[in-house]
Amino acid sequence: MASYFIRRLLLVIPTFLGITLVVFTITRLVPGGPIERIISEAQQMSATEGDSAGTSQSAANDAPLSPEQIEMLKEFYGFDKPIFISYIEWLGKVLTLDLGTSTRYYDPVWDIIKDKLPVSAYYGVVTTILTYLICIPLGVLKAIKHKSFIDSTSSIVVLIGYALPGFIVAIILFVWPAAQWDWFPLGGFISEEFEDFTAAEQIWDVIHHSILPLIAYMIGGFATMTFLMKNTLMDHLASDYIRTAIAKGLSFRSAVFKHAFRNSLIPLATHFGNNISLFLAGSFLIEKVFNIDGLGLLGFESLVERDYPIVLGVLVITSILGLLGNILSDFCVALVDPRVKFD
Amino acid sequence: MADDAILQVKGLVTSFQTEAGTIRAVEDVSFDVHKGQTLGIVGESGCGKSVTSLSIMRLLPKPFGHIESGEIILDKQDLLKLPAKKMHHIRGNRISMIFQEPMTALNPVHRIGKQIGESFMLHQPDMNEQAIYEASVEMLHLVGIPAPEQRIQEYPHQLSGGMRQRVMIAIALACKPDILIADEPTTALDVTIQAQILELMKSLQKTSKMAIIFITHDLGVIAEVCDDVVVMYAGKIAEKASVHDLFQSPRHPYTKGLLSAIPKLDNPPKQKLQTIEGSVPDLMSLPTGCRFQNRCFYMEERCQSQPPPLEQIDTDHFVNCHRWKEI
Repeated sequence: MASYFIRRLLLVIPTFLGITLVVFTITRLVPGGPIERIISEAQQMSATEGDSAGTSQSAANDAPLSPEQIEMLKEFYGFDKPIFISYIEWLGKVLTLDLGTSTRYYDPVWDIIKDKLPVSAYYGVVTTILTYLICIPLGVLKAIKHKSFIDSTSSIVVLIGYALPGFIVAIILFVWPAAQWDWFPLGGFISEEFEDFTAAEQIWDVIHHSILPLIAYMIGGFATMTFLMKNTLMDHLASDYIRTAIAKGLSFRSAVFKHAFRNSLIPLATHFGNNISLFLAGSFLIEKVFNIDGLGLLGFESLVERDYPIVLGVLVITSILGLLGNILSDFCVALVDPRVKFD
Repeated sequence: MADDAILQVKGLVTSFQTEAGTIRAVEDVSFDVHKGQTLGIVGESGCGKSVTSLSIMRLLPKPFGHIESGEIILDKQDLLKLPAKKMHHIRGNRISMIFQEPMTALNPVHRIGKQIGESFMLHQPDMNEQAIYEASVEMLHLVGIPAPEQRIQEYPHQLSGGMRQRVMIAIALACKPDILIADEPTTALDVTIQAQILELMKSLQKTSKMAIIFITHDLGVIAEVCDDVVVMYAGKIAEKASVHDLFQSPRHPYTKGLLSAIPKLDNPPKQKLQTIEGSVPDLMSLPTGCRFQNRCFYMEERCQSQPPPLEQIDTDHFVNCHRWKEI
């Protein structure tokens, strides 16, 4: 088993190289980027200067930067070299944990990401834990009480949640419970007076701020997880080994929890590791609605603004987590299913 | 004979709710099971033999299966009147069951030891862990599994089908039940393994004096292991007799048909196999009168109009046919 996981870990390397090389190449080929932005900024600046001075230096407006200046900029951002060479250089820096400098903020990318990481990780971890905590018991209940009142009503609720995109739910929650009725803060992660609060107040403040975004995050994932749990458990309840267990003298309840339950966790375990990449990616739309300063929003805005070092930095982190998550899933499956042997 | 009967089934009627309506899978089935003896229940698929056994265990699939009437008497108490909780002490303790599919009848994620030990834990709560372990190893040894100390640590997928069926038997016999219900225990196994399992069941029966209800569609197996036989057709008993009487002087045309359908070694090769023409009637739309009428060579008018009674023709021989005297 150990050798299998070592092999899987080694396979992360080429996959990671592939992902980053493709995205790196795309950032070089698409129009836009830091140099174009500086050119347009310079254009605006010289235009306003020209207006205020009132002189006739309009010839310079067409080309606010001289070709030499542009060459200098290209050199500064490393655009003067061929794609592959600069990819190798970028990769070399990444290996020393240097993700470069943002072309918008001129701060180290790692510092910017590090700032947003706790918020995203908080939402990711809490969402995952709550989803499992709610969906597994709910799925079990629905399976045991199949076709009962509680099964049907919870199905309706869960399916409505599934049908609504997370950001729509976010907007609904934002407009009524938060804005209209004033039950919850209008977004943000903590209050401005956070520093002055007692510990208990601080905890409550974080919870109070996160209730609505958490609902928006979780509601879409509920249906898949709950129905996966319900359907696999029902399959297992109809299986021969449950009949064996009951024929042994077990009550139905014990048969469910001692025999069917662990078998039904196998498909859930296959998903488990993939959650850690969701931890961080978040949803920029939900982050946007609730003004949460997380990685999802950062990645999206960097993309719009062509802040490639940040785009690549976020990519490095999410892709490594995604790849490790897959391995973690394999590990979880091996943990609950003794038939799975990796070698 | 009723005096030494350990289990009596009287007038059992079991029905299923389906989307198309209610069907009676078992109708008016009665038989006695005697200590240390084997009762065979034989019939085609869908004749109600498995439903009969599940009814005895009260293991019918809920909420569709339902016992309409009848009595199942063990120790002078009617199992059908017992509260569900009391049934837990009967199952696996007084009456055990083994199933057709050894490949799926064991829980794939639990070790063999745990699955055998569970029976002891349920019915002999004063046993400690060490005693349970030793008893489980002993059970595996008893059912002829080599290296039981090692096997007990393994998972079902590490065992062959025959070995798994032995484990099932070990689980079923762990608490020394009075009655073992074996629902086609050898159907999924190949013939050599089948012979081993039958041999094992016979020898275990000899030492423990338990009664066995053996459900099968294979008359060869019946001849090998049973003392008495119930032949079922479309939910009803067609004929009930000692195994000797049944094979020597079958009375019901269906039994005769079944027996003549067994290929014989001295038949010339490549001969056409004997069959019973036609097929089992749909339980949703049973004919009035005899249920076997559409396949019977001896069918006459009254067979179509009134169902035959189950008539006693000898001490232990019953037949459900209007014309048994003539044929």
